Formats: sequence, structure tokens, C-alpha cells
Amino acid sequence: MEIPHTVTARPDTGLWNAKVGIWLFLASEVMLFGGLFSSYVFLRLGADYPWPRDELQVPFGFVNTLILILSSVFVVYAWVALKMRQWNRYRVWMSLVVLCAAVFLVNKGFEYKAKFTHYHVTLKDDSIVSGHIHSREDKSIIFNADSVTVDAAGGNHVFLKWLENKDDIRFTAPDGTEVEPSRAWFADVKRGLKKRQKADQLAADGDDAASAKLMEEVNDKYSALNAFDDSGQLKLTLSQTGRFVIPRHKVLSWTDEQLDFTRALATKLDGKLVSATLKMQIDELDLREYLRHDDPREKAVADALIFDHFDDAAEGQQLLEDFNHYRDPKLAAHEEAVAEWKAKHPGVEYEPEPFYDFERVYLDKLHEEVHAEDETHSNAEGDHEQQAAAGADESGSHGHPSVSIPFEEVEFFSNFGPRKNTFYAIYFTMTGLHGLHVFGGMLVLGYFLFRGRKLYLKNPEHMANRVEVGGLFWHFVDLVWIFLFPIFYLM
Amino acid sequence: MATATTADSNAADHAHAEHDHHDAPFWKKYIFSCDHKMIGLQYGYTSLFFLAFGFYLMLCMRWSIAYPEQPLPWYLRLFIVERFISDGMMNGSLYNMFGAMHGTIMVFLGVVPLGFAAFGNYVTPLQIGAIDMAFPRLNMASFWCFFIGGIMMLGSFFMPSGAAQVGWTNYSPLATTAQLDYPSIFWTGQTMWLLAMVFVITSSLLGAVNFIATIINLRADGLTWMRLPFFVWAMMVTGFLLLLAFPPLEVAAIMQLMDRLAYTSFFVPTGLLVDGQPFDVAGGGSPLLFQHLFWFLGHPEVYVLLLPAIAIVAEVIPANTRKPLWGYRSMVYAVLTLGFLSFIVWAHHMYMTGMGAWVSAFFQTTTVLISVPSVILLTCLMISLWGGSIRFTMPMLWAAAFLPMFGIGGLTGLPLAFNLIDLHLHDTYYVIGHFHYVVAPGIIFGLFAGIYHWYPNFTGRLMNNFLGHLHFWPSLIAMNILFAPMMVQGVAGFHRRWYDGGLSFPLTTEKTLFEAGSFFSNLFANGEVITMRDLNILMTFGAMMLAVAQIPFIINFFGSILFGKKIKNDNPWGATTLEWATPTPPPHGNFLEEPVAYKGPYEYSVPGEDRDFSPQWEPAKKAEPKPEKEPAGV
Amino acid sequence: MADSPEEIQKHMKAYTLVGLALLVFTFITVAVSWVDFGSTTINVTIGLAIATFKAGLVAAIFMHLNHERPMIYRILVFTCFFAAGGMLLFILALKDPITL
Repeated sequence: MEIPHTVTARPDTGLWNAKVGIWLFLASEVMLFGGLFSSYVFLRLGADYPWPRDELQVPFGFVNTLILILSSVFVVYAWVALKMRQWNRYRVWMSLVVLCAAVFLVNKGFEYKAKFTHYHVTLKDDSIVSGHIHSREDKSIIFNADSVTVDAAGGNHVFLKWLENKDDIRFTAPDGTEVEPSRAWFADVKRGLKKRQKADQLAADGDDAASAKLMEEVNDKYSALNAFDDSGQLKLTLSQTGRFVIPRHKVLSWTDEQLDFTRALATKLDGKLVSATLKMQIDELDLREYLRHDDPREKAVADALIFDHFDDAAEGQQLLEDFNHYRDPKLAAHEEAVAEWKAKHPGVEYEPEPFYDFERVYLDKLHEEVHAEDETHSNAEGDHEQQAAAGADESGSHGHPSVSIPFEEVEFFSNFGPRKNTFYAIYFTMTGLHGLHVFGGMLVLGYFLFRGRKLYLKNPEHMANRVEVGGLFWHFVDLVWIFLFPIFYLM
Repeated sequence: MATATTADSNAADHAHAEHDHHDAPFWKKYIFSCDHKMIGLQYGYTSLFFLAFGFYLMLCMRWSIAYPEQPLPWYLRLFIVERFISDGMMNGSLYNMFGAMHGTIMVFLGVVPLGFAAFGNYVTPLQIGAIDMAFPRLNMASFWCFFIGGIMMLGSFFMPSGAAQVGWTNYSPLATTAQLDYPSIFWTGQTMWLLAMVFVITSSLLGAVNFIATIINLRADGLTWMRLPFFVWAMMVTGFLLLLAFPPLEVAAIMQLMDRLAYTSFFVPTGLLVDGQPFDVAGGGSPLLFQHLFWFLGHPEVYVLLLPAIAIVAEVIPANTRKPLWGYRSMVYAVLTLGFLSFIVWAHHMYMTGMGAWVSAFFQTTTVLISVPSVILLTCLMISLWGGSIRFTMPMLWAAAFLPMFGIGGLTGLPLAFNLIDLHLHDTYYVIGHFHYVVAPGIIFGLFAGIYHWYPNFTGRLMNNFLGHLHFWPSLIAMNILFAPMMVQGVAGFHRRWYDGGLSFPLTTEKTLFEAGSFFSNLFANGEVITMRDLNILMTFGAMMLAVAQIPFIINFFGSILFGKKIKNDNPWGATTLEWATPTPPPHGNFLEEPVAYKGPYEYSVPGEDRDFSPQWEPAKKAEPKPEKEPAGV
Repeated sequence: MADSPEEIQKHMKAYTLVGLALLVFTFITVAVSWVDFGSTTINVTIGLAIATFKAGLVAAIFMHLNHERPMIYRILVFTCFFAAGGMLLFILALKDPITL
């Protein structure tokens, strides 16, 4: 029993099955990416923050575009080779396609990694800095705990994840018994709690015998529960000071002596707070939202919170000066242009742009610019300065000052991952889905490359059809990238 | 000697063939089958199970609305874990969970799989004279994706958080921020809902590709486009609706997954507070975006539900009136127009979001326009009854009941198309009543017609007539007891999401709907005052009655496999379409010889023929050449 | 349909040329993005026009849409209509001139 028209075209439609199938599939893909592109437009037009236009690294996207275009050409060549019944040529071209796909993905991986290790902090007054964080501790809350209070109903073992020296620590309940707060122990506690509630329910209903029996079981099998107090809390003492290094978003609140995990963890620590500051080396200063111009607030650049938190106050002062030095002439020029426009259009209300791009600076570029000006001012000192700069570069801090920001002053903190803002969210979602398509295409085409010989010998036309279908999918993936590249990297 | 050898080898060949056909291992024949009929049946059984389950959720909800201060009766509590209920009563969050899952299960796991996937899979290849679908293995993958999605949906009830709770529409930011208080956000019902939807959507997409490709490329010889049965046309349009409307929902599901798992803010606006605390994400997203993406699917989905049912009715009616379908050609064009328009009406679900006037006006216009093709379909079906010698067989009863029931559902939708009236009615029981009239007594009646109609084809037996009547009449009455009062309540302003029937709003609950002594109170309540509360109790009674009315069906459905009356020939209804040209039940590969279609699909009572039907697969008997004219035009 | 091997062989040159054109236009896209045409809108429009042209080349030549069967065209026309219509209506809903 053979399904008709798998290889040869049906006379009246002129199509074989898989060709109809792939085009229908591509139609649904058009709608999938259509929905994503619509979302992109919707989010971009509705964004209430300056939409990032030049933040992605163009070389990555550019090279990937070239790779995909080449692979698209190669896949056509491979199909032609099959049509000409030249198996070896087919194999060469198809290998190149699969190779291109792999290179594309590796390239993408590097690009993603750079984003995930780059951080961004919005302070309470909307001033923003970005930079690098050197260790996990620099972005965590560090707490030395003497005791842990867990909850019978909502507690769980997750807090152990952030206990650095958990192998050396034993937990003791108030009654002196030693406890291992593992996943199994918490599960037992919860099961016991449920049984006890049921027993209470039975007692309330008047069935004392059944209730007593159940209580006996609870006392017998779930004795862990007895250690908890009436409000369902249990304070476990640590055999020695436990050092916790906890991501900020897992903590609800903290004081110098106490730390509350989020409600999902329902756990509390008592002890001593070691550090609740974010330490990073910054490479970008963005005051656009702090100084936003559709808002009549009058703010001085020097008042931005970020300038209070430089490890070396002199570096902060230097950056402030450089920033003003860079911004003031541009602001003046802009204001002049606005005044001119107003003079030309009397009676028309001027709508200010909410954000001025020149109020964000990359520290490297800023340094270059200021440095270049210095050079023109004092040529003689140039050599000396360059030497100083080289020396500072070796120590790794020149131009990239360190800041320590207490978490209380942090409004929002994230790496340049999808969480950062809707631009990065849609960027990662779209390129991620596209990457999955590349990966899927690579698998299918790789299968045709390594496993296609048998079918080729049996029915070369069938094999050519398969490659055509795979190729159509591949071209579509290329076509999507042709749009993704400019909208994310260039505009 | 020679003859003996031949006979032997023949026998051996025969045995070999038998071996091929019947000795496939059980799991290959019944579980991981690639045969479109088996997959259709798998879809059918699974979706009937889900329909029953969704129905059970609804019973619990109705009880909670009618008797908010009383514990659930034991037969409803059988399946509920105790940690969800308080003092035996449903609480608000359990009601929300059941509400969300009732909608999701009924729409995505019940009606669509039954109408499109089960009937479509079983009947479409038969009706176009194909041996199977174009991509049988894809077909199997489609079923298993659906099955996994269904299991995940059901499994979410057993998670610590319970199942999803924010309605079948899963609006953000509520859906983004719900159930975040669990150690693992991945293992919450809300997240599972999204993952399960991704599976269900994938299943539908694979199915849609397969259906359309099959219809385009595997039609039998002579089966030109205008000779296709209406059912096949409807399946093709449905396939396109799924193919093009589902991807945006997949996008929405993926984005909401990102919002929940990667803390993005696609649908989270700036400055959102959750429990009085600022929500720790970047913000800048748009909750409206989710609604757009959701309803871009949501509205075509309505027609995905409807078209299979209306198409089944269009098959059943000619077979039982013994006359051609009236206006076949206009029905085909109507269904194509309907499919087209259904993509540009979605925002009439969003009038309450405060959309601008231009957009509202646009969607209001298209919404009113789309009623035209719907009315053409319904009118053609009604006129088809005119002058026929109607046989009130079981399928015909359901089909006949479909017409007025769907008519009520459709007409009550008209006011909702208008922005201003919708603002008043939107969150009331009027909307619930409207779409349940379309889906429950409308679409599900159509699907029952299909079950009774094609049952002989896959079992070789008829379903019992007496049990059938015992199923049909109480269902018809119960459906109306259940849904008609919703309209009255809705217009009076009864809100659609009160889990306790508005107990905390005594003025609303006890609001008098009909004065003592008025026509309705005289008719139904011995002249007493009728309140909202009374109607709630009445509707709950209707729901219980509906549940009881399904018992004869279940007995009938399974009992008739063994004890039903055997059919005398392969074409028990005397129908004309190709699915009746197969042996009963159709073997793997369907047809004994390749079928050829010689004429249109509904040639009943052709003058000059000796029977009152002339099947598509039989050449015209008369010597005179038959013109290519369609039979339906009249 | 160019299905005979000889004809396909002839198309090889076209494929190569199109591939080169695509590479060249990728350079142009990047180059154009460095030029400020006065407003973001104009820059975006130019960028998208080039991208659309490139996509058109891929679709027409590599995906053989320049000589495909009517059935495929029918499917794609509706798809593109709904995708584009959806996007326009999304934007209209966002930028409606008459809102509360």
C-alpha cells in the first residue's frame, strides 16, 4: 500500500505531497514569525524607555548573515547536484551547509555569552550603569547565619543551595535532636502536617477513635513534626557559622541581624549581615532616563545617585567632569536647534524628545574623545600620559571605575539577558527561536547527508525531492534572518 | 498436480496477505497506529473522555454558584483532593481553577479534537477516496503531541499549586504573576498550562498541514473541487484556520513562558504592583499585546469549533431528507468567506480594554459582516429540509435540533458585536449563555449527529434507537433549562465570575427577575417572585439532568459494539458519498478497488433512477452524457 | 517548472549571481545604517526596503517562487495578507487617533 504522489507530481495540481506539506508548514511559520515581528513593532512603538538602537555587536550579526546566505546558496547547489545525479558533489555542498549551520550556532553562542556576563543596574533615581561583575559574591547578599527558621507548611530545602559550607554544618532542633533538613525531611513534615490536620478535622467531627489512631501514626512516623512550635515554625541552630551567598531576587528583606527569603522559600536566617552591596566595574553611564526631557523635573547631573558610590571618589569626580564635558556642548547645540525650529514654526507646539542620546556615554569612547582633546591641548605631555594610561590598563581599572552600590539603592538589576528590558526579551526570544530553527534544519539536512545514500540508490528523485523540501525550509530560515539582522542590530 | 500447486501457492499468498493485515502487533495496530481511521478513533475516545471531565468540572462550579453555603454532594467530591476544598465547600481559588480548566479542556482538548481531529481523520480520507492521509506518520505524531499536552493539562491538577487559575484566556499580567509563590515556578499549573498548550498547538499544526495536503493531493479520480462533499470543504477551511491562527497563540504562549521563567516583561507594564510590592522586572511590556495575540487565534478558533459540526449536519441532512443539499455552491463560497473574515474580527473580544474608536469601528463592521456567511450556511441547511421526505433517524434528530439551537446561539451574538451594547453585557452571564448556546446545544449536537451517523461505518452495527431517544430528548430539554436562564440573568447584570453566585452581593443575588404574578412567574413559580438565585438553582438542576441524560449514550455507545443491530449492507443510510463505498469496517487501505467519482456529492432522488440515491462511485446509468453541472444549484 | 536536469544546470549561474547579490546587499545594509538620513523613520524604512528586496530574491530564485504552481501562490497570498493585516491592525490598535 503506497500513498500516491509521494515522488511524482499529481497531474492536476502539479505538486507532490511533501511540497504541499512544506509550503503549508512554511505558511504557518510565516504566521509564527509574523506574530513575533508584530510583537516587536508593538513593543517598540509602546516602549516607555529609550529603545536600544546600537547596543548589539554588529560584527556578530553581520558575519552570521553572510554565513546563512552562503549556506543558502550551498543548499541550492546540493539540490542541483542531486538533480544531476552527482552524489559526491551533493555530499560536498551539503557538508558545507551543515558546517555553516554549526558555525552560525557557535557564533551565536559567543554572542549570547557576552550578553549574559554583562550587567546593568538601575538605581532608585533611574540613573543607570552597566559593566562587569567579577564574582558571584559581588552580586549576592552575603550573610553569616547562626540559626535557620523553617516553616512546616511552606518551607523547603532550597535554602541549602546557597549555604557555602554546608558539608561542615549540622543542624540541631531546640530539643537537642539533630536534623537533616533535606528534601525528604521536608516532604515528611508536610505529609505529617496534613495527617494531623485530618486528625483534627476528625476530632472536630466527633470521631475520636479514628482521630486518636491517626495522631498515633503521626507521632510514630512523622516525629519530625513534633519539633515545630504551635505556629508551625522550627528554629534550627547551626553547629558553626553558616556562610550564605544568596542571589538578590531570592531575598525578600534583610536587616543587620536577620534575613527573610522570599515567600516561596518561607525560610528565615538569624545572624550577621556581611554584605548587601553590588560591586561592579562599569563601562557605561546612562543618564537618559534620569534626565528625561518630557518630564519637567529639573535635575543636576551631579546629583545622580550613582556618583555617591564610586570606590574611588576621584574616579567618580573625573567621570562626572568628562560626562559634562562631553554633554554640555551637545545640549547647547540641541537647544539652539530647538530655538531655531521654534522661531521657524510659530504657533506650533514643540514636543520634546523624551530622551537625548548624548546623555548616555560608553566609558571607553568617552575616554578616547577626552584624551584626544587633551593631546591637541598639550602635545608635549602626550608621551607621558600614554605611558600612564598603559600602566593603568595593566592594573585593569583605568577608565573602568569600580562602584559598590547597596542593594537598597538598586531599583533593578539584571544581566543583559532577556530580563533586562523588552528589547532584550524580544531579541532573545526571536533569535532563540530562529536558532532552534537553524538547529532543527541542521539535524534534518545532516540526516539527508549521512543517511540519504540508501534512498538515493533506491529512488534518486525521491531523495532530490527531500532535499528540495529541506532546502525550502532552510531558505525560509535564511529569509527570517535577513529581517532579524537589521531590526535588531542596525535600527 | 499442477492445479493443486497453484491452489497451494494461492493459499500461501492469501495467508501472507492475511498475515500482513491482521498480525500487526497490538501496539502497532491500536496504539502507535498510522492508519487514519485508528487515529481518528483514538482522538475520538480521548476527546470524549476530556469532554466528560470538563463537564464534571462544570457540575462542581454550577453547584457552587447555586448552593454556595452548602458542601458539595459526595458524588462531586469523589475526585477532589481535600487540600483544595474548605469544609467540603468549593472556595474561590478552586472555582477559578475549575473555571480555567473547564474552558481549556472543553475547547482545546474536547470539542476541537472531536470535531476536527476525530471526525476529520476518520471521514475525510474516506470521503475523498484516499487510502490514507498524505503523511501517516505525521498524523500519528499529531495525536501523540495532543495526548502529551492533555496529560500535562490533567497532571497540573496534582501539582502543589493545582492547575491554572486565570481563565481559559490566561490574560497577563494576572497569569504572569499567578502562582509565583512556589519553590519551582516550572512545576506550577500556570506554567504547565503554557507548556501543554505548546504541545496541543503543535499537534493542531501538524494535523492541519496533513489535512490540507491530503485534500489537495489525494482526491480520487473524478473528484473535482465542486464534487467534494461539503464536509471536506469545511475540513479544508478549518485546516487553514488552525494553520494560520494558531502560530500567534504559540508566540503568546512562548512569550508568557519567558515572562514566567526568564522574568522578561513582554506582558508586564511598568510599575506593576503585586500584593502591594513592586514586581521585580524591568516593565515596559503590554498586557494588551497578549490579548491581541490570544484573540487572533481565539476568534478563528470559534469557527474551528463550529465548522466540523455544521459540516456534519450538512452530510446528515441530505442523507435523511433524500434530496440534494440546497445551495451547495453558495455554501462552499460562504464557508470560504467565513474563514477569510474570521481572521479580522478578533478584537470584538476586547471592546472592554478601551480600544480607540477607529479600531472598534473596524472590528464592529467586520463582525457584523461575518454574520452574513454564517446565516447563508444556516439558511441553506434549513431550506434543504423543505419538501424533503424526512426520515427522523437518530442522526437526523440531532441535526434537526442543531439548527434552532445554533440559531439561538448565533442570534444572541449579534448584540455583542456592537461596542456599546457589549460594554454592558460583556462580563455578564449573557456572554456565557451566548457562546454556550453555540457550543453546547449547537456544536455538540452536531457532533452527536456525526457519532450516530458514522457509527455503522466503523462498527458494522447501528446504535440502539430507544436508548438514542432516551439520550436525545432529555439532553435537548436539559440544555435549554441550563442555558436559557443565563440570558435573562445576564441582561439583568449577573456577573460571570462569582464563584458563590454573588452571595456577598445580596442585592444582586436576591434581585427580582420576574415579579410575582407576571407571566413567567405564573408559568414557572406558581405566581411567586423569581430571583437570580432561583434561576441558579434551576440551571444546576438542568446541568444534573444533562449529566444523567448522557448515561444512555454511554451504554449505547459501548453496548452497540457488541449488541447493536447489524447493518444489512455497507451503505445503511443509502448515502451517496464515498465513505459508504468501503467494506464495513473499512480495512487498512480503505477501498477494495480504487474509487472513481462520477458525479456530485448529493445526488438524491435523481429523476429517472430506480433508487432515491445515486452514489458518487457509480457511473451514471443513463446513456445520455451527463453534463458537468453541479447537482446542488437547483 | 524547470525540472529537466539540463535546465537546472542552466540555473546554476543565476543561483551564484543571486548569492553574490545577497552578500553585496548585506554590506549595503550595514553601510546605510551608518548614514543618518534625518530621522529614525527614514533609516528604518530604507533598511527594511533593502531587507525586503533581499528576502524577495531568496523567495523568488532560491525558493523557486518565480515559477511555482497556482495552488502555492494561493496559500501564500492569504498567509501574507493575514500576517500583514494582523500587524497593521496591531499598530492601529496602539496608535488609534481617537482614544479616551
